[in-house]
Amino acid sequence: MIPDLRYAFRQLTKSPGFTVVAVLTLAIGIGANTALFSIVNATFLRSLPYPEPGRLMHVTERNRQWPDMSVSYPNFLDWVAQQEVFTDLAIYRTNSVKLKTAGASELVSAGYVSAGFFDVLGVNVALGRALAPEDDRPGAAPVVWLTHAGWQRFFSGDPAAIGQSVLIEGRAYAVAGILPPDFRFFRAAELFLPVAPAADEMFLKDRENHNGTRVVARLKPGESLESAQAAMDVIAQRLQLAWPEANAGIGIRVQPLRDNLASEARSSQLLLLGAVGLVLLIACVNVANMLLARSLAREREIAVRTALGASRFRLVRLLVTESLLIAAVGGAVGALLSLWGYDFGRRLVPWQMQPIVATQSGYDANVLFFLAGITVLTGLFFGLVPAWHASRIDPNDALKNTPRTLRLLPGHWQVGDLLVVGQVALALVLLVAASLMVRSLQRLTAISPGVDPTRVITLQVAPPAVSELQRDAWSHTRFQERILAEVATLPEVESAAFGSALPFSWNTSSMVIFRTDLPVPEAGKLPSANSHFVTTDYFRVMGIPVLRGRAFTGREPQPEIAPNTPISVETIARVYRGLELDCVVSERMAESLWPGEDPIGRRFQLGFPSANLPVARVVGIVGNTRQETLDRDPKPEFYLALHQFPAPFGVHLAVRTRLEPSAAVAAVQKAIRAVAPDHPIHDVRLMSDRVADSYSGRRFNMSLFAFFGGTALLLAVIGIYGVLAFNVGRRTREIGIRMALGAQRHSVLLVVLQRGLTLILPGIALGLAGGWFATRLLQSQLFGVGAFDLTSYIAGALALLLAAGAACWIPARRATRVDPIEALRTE
Amino acid sequence: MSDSLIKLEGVTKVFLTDEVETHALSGIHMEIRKGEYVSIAGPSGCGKSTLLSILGLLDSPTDGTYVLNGRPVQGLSLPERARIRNREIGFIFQSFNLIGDLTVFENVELPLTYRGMPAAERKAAALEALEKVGMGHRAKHLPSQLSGGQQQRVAVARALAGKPAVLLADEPTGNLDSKNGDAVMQLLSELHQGGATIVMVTHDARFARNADRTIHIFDGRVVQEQVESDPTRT
Repeated sequence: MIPDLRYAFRQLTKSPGFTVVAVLTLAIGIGANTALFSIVNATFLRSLPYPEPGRLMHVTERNRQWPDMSVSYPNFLDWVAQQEVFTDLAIYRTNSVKLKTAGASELVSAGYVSAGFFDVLGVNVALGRALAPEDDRPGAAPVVWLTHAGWQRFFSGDPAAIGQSVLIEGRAYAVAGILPPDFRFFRAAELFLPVAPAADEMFLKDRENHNGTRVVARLKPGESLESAQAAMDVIAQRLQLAWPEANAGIGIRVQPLRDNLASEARSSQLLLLGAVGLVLLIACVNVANMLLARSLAREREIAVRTALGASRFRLVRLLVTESLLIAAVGGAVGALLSLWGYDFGRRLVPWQMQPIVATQSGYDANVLFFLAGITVLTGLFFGLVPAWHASRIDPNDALKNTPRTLRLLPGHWQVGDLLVVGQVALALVLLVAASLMVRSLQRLTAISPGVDPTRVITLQVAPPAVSELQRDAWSHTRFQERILAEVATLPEVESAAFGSALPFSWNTSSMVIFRTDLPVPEAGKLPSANSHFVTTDYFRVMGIPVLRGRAFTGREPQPEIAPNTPISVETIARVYRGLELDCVVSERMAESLWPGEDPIGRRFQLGFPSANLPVARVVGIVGNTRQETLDRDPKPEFYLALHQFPAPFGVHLAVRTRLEPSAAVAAVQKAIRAVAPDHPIHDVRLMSDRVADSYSGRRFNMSLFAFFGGTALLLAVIGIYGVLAFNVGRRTREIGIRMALGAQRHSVLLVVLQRGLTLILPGIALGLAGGWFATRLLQSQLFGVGAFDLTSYIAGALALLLAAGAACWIPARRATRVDPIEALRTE
Repeated sequence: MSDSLIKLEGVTKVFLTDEVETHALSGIHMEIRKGEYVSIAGPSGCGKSTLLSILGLLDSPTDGTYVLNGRPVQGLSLPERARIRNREIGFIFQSFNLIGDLTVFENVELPLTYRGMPAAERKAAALEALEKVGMGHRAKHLPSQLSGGQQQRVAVARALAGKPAVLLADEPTGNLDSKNGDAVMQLLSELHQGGATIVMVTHDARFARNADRTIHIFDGRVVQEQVESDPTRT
């Protein structure tokens, strides 16, 4: 074995060009596969970083419309009281909070969690004390737990931080504990606060409110997913009976935590793994063809070895050793490429898993095993066919210099030809898939978002503390008005407005509504619509057309709210009772709530019948907007005047500029800081970027498919070129004879081109058939085009035909330049 | 005969090419004794190389029997033929057929590795063979660094290293100038005098005379046998 290995090494160093091409070809295939497997591994295979992760469940609510809803906090408290299948279950919600540090105020991500949260995840504090049930009660002393990173950032890792105070949203919180450095949460959070003391401020106490709260739970030993689901179904039925309005049609969904975090990525990751597997297959075929050609060139050596008594096994072993050595070097280079590929492709990991994988290496035992396995299999795959055929070389012919080819089939077909046909077919499958993805994205981006995103800057400004709102209910409104006034003075700015839920900000909020002129629908059948709270110029800034009626005037009256009135749903219900609010509705809402009628002047009730919220009167109809992604149909939407509400909505500022918006960002931020110096500005993005980001996942997948398709095309072209060039090289004498006998150069050209076409055309036919089967798997990733989109098939086939034609042309041209005298002299 | 090494009886070889039968050998009868030096002569295309291929178990006869060292070998499997080739036959080719990527020593050692011989024994046997042909001092060189004559000496050493029952030489001087050709023929004569059995294909009558006996082939048949010590026909 050692002599074989030594000889194989010598062979590779002897032909550096061959070796480099073969190694790089395999490295691309192995590297891409390993990188993608690393991502699949990080998403689906690697254990979550918690003890006994298989017992962790994610529990959400669901109804007919939403299969995965946030959990109503009062419902959660009932679950805790009634359930017997979990050792514990905990609610969590993440928010940005304003933290006062030594230098200035900054916004940090905070997790509001219930008492059992760290117990459920199996996390012990590294310093200080654990979160106790008494911390998670209304009115409890404010305490905070810092992550290790937060502790390092805010206290430079000083153990004396325990017991010290930090100002969060203007209130002093005592640091109670520091979490261990290896703790990873599946949301971004630098600190954790008990949820119960903040439940009022976050409007969590209303059973109807499903406000971003999620539940994680740990199964008791012996319980299963099925038993937990059955037990929670019983609780859901009880709650429906107890709270028929708020819980009408609401069930409970229990699923493994891993599934909740990762399942959305399953199909796209597996499809990409399939695509990259095809690339590796094509790479293998390419190298196999190169080795086949080389084995023909080495037939005399093989024949000598045979004559000296080498058995077929020994010959195959020698040649497979060479291929395994090439694969090993390719695997090593591929491993390096995969490190880069993993970093590049990590965005394929679902966003909930990102905080967990962010600090993890892409490599673990699974990936190393995969890399080793794929390297050995690759070496065997591309090495065995050439080795087998080389071992069949007839030493008589080889030692007599008889020109020969490696035939597999009768007629003119050779092994190398078959490999090229297969390669062309596989490449076409990937090209068709890439073409489908491109056309899908084209269709998607051709859809109007309903807003004009050009020249619009969007950002958030941390609002005044909730405590200020308690003193003066309209303090937030005045804060917003000051900012709007200051920003409006900028010469770069055309108009500016605040909105509670900008399109593509993933901040939509829906509310139950019903017409006041019709009987109230029964619970569970109440319609709902997305609610927006916007300032006067919002429609102008966002480019949403007012189709009928009018927009807001800014003169909509504010209700009287006495100082020191706690702001809650009850307050709003009391203050606004009997008040009629001007409302603008989207065209979709107008059609769905008043089909065939004129909605202007019509009224509808906000919220459940028992909530006693105000009535809205329609004053205008605006165009539909898409709120989250372009591929989702617009939902019914209504808009209320923001200045009529004191509630601390998480609002965005949108600024339409006169010129290039990125040039105006600094000026806008400066203007805001001038009137709100202690209020951090964050989430600064151009509206066009928000729209583009909504399909960035699709675009990224499309780019990967395009890259894999392009790589496959390149490899196929190299394969075709290699076979034809080798063919021309071996037929130089024959071509010389033809030319000596009077063949014209164009006829020689045609002979070679025809040979190329006999490889390409069957490959295309097979590829089209293969694509017909394979692209059906892509259907879930497509938008606006079917898996059998004819244009995509034609485009893929044409691209392949042109590129392959070019690959044929070079050796064909070389054939026409054969000097007959020289060719006939050389035997 | 107890000292018979090679015995062919009615050996024929027919090639089928595009439904056309070509009779390369037609009923060859031949016997070669141990320690004999036989040359096979004849014009191009007469079948002498085909005969040598059959003798070397690189090819099998279409019909007839071939007994090597007392054992019929015409119907053996490929692995068994490879094993016999490795142990009982040494090849010397016209174009040397050294493997360019292996050193002189490794080339000579190569057939011994196929035999599964331990490394120390291989080394001793290869060096001994190289010393025998006067090439021990070039053991670490590559074939490309040697002259044609030296390369053929190395090829002879490779054939000798495994101590085969017979050396088969196919036009061993065909790619050499007359001086190197003479030297190689002298080497074969010395080996023969040392007891080696040699079968050599040549169409150079000058070299054929070095053999004890010359078998003339024409059109796939033995047409004449000539014992060099007795110039009269037998």
